[in-house]
Amino acid sequence: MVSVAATAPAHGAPRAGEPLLEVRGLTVSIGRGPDALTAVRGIDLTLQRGESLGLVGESGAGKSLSMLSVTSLLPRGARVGGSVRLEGRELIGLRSRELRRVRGAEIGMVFQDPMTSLNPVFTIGRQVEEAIRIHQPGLSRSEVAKAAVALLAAVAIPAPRERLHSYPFELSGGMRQRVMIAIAIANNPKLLIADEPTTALDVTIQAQILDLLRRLAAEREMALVLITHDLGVIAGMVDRVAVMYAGRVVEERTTAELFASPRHPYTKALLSCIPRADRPDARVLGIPGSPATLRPPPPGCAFAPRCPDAVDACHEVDPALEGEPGARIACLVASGRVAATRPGEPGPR
Amino acid sequence: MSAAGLLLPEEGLAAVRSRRARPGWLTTPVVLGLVVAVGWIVVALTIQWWAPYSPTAPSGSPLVGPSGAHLLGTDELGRDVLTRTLYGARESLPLAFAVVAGGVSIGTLAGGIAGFFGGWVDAIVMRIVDLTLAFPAILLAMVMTASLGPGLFHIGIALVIVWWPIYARLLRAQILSVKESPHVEAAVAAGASRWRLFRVHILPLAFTPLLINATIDLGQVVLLASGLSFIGLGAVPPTPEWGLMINDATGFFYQWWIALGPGLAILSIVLAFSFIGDGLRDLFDVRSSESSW
Amino acid sequence: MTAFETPAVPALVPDPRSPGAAPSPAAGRERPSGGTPLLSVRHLVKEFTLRSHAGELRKRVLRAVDDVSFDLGAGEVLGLVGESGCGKSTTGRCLLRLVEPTSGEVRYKGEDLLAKGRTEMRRLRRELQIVFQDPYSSLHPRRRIRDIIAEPMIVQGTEPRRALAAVPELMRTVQLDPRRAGAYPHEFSGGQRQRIGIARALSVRPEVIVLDEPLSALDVSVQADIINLLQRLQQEMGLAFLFISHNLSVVQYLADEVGVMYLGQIVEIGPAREVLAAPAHPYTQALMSAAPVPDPEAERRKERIVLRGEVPSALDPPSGCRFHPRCWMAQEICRTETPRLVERGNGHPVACHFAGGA
Repeated sequence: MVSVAATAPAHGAPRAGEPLLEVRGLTVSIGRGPDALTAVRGIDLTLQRGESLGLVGESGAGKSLSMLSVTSLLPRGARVGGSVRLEGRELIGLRSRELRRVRGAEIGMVFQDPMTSLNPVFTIGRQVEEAIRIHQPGLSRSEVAKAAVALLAAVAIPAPRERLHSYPFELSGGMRQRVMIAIAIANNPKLLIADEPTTALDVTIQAQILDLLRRLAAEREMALVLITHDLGVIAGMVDRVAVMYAGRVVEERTTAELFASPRHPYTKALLSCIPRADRPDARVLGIPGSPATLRPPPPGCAFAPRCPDAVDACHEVDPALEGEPGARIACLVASGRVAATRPGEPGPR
Repeated sequence: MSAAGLLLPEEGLAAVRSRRARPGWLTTPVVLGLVVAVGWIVVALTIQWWAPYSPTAPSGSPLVGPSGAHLLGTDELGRDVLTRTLYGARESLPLAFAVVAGGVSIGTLAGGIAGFFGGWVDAIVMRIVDLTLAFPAILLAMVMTASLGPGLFHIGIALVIVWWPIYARLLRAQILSVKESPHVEAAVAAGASRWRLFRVHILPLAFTPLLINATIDLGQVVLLASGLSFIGLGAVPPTPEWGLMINDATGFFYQWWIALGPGLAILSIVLAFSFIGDGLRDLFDVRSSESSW
Repeated sequence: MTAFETPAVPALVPDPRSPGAAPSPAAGRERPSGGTPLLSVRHLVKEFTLRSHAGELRKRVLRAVDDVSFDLGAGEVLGLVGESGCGKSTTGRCLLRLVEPTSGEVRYKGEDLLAKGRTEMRRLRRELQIVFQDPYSSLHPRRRIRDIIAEPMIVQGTEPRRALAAVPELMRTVQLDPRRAGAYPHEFSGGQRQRIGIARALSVRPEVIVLDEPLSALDVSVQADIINLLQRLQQEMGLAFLFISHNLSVVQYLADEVGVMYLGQIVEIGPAREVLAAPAHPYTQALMSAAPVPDPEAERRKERIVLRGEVPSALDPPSGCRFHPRCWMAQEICRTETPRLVERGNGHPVACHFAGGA
């Protein structure tokens, strides 16, 4: 596999001191030997304090896996490569004890399914208190209880003191997700990673939860990584968006620019897949072909077989992600490294 | 915290899975189990032609430890332990297959009727099941022995009676659960008759756990039958039955080899069928489950 | 642009029962002029009786569908939208009697389906089909694709050999490779399985198809393919769709009419463009506001309506207008009097005392 040499290193001068999170060449492989699957094939991301980043892609893109590997919450048999630095500190390869101090205290996580993310046999109060106690062991029982009530109030759960004694099954999906968020922010983490936090919720509840996340991130100056397949959710929530396909980041832009002038063919295709109630006459277009098989890894650009702009070089050379943060793209044609075909010339297949 | 669910390109995964060299369900334990089980079946079918000695007639001095001539030594009557152990398969295996076959047949019939008709038919069948399940196996075995006389065959009847309700319950539960699946709804929407729904769409899927259990139960029956023989309710001397052999061995504690043969035999058979059952479960899972890790 | 278009759908599915049958006229998106609607639902009610827990005196009754009425014309697409628990899926199933309605009327071609006996119902099922939400559990896992697709035809009396012969063409219609007819469901992706489900529903050339959230389990790009496929099939074959979804944008793309449901009742129903461009009922407005739009400018400009509270339990719905606890326009009358679903000057029926001024 030949890879085009990157030009300048892909991160510009950090805005206010060191970036909060720096991911370089992150790879995640599952399994061993000939059957091994490299699900995340080298991604680079930078996040400043208080910034919000959206990670968008369809299933199999590797977005969840890459963020889970930040705190090594990986399944058995998964191996991580590359570098993930939190405030300059390398997280990959940290010993369990150190990792546990990072998880929950410096990085909080909210998962997709509120139905199964909470322990059904413990009360809400017990689970929230546990989150507090793990990282602040010196507090007295009453202090912990008070903190728990304050947290439930912060996530807008009505009657928080009474709710401490409720069990998860007594709560609706939206309420459970609020509890999950409370647990995630219990120790004022610097970074909150939300993995499809509203996918399992109704759309009106989704609006409430997204509103809550936005408000909390601003109030507590938390950086936010929002993982989702829903471009609509991203549009209203984050400063920057990274689009992932087949284990790579293919485009990273500010939100406004990504939607106004997408450059990567996959991004353009994805945007044209979505019907819009405010544009009732627009045609919806699919993407020909099927998602990339990563076993064996494709020789060139993973999207080339489905790309209308692909040229011969695209099938041989795997483009690297180039450009300044907020304006990066991994495409030979779109970045101008290779001449595009004349319009009208048929793409592959 | 929720488990790290993997999301991988489905297309690629599904394609690769059907191309694998060795099927995923055929793990090492499963292969081992198959080898051992088939081995014992072959032994049971052919031992009479290649046995080193007679299982009932003495062939050496009594209570002699393992040696070149007698690999597992001799018992208190001078009979070769290895030969008796191997012959034991002829007692236990046919019984196991017969009991499981009988239990599955009756159980499937009962569970199927209960699941298909529902309503009061279901209620009646299930009460009979409950009643029979309440009967302790040992008590029933004693009743059989008392009324019909001793012997493995009569114990077999007792075991079938005790075993079928388990399958009936299992099948009925599976039927009730499969009935709710969308693919059954789809068949209803197509206009399928109740019988067709049952025969084509429900029963084949409901039957699978039964099959898996039955396989594992082959080993369990061997264990139970040996246990009954051990306490004197099954085979009678001089039958080379494993439980009986272990019973004989209790009087000769220091001659450990007398119990070793039958003990290892039971252990190996139970494990073998257990592993095969696990393998079957994985095999059916591949077909039935979603394409995800 | 053209590179993204999915290939043209081949000629209509041949009718396995009578080779010379003429295809139904392509109805497109115009409402058929006059005559009885194909499907007419009146005052549909479905109650579920829940087992009472120990200590409770009375059994609890859940009214999943509470007095729902609508029409579906031949070749028309009616979208039914709402969030989880609103009763839209149950309504769809009641239409096909996959769930037996508690009361009400479902008239198909003028005759009441609910009065039909079992045999007659089985015959009528040929004309009323369904596509399910979950592509994983809606296909028999141990049967081959060709048997799954051929099943409705065989069940309806087609000779098995002829039914199987019709399978390749059906597969091509849904853009599946006919050479894979001998494969099992687990060898296909979610999108492909959904196509198999569609082929199965089409196999008996129905008049009406109920689609119960057919896109929800699929990736965005796959959804786009399936939407286009459904649209093409609907137009070419003149099918009537009851399209159930929680996704407003998808519904507006396909539907001629749309009905919005909340806690078992229809709160607004009318032409799709009208309802979605100028929603009259506050709940519809909230839905439209909450639906994420992939456009940061539009998101910013959107009037933000964030509803208070949770969806109440259907076991104990609020009095009067069921939406009143969460509604910002609620007055005393909303608590005491249930608003009827009638025209109030918006051009289509709305169930709100104050609709007619957004």
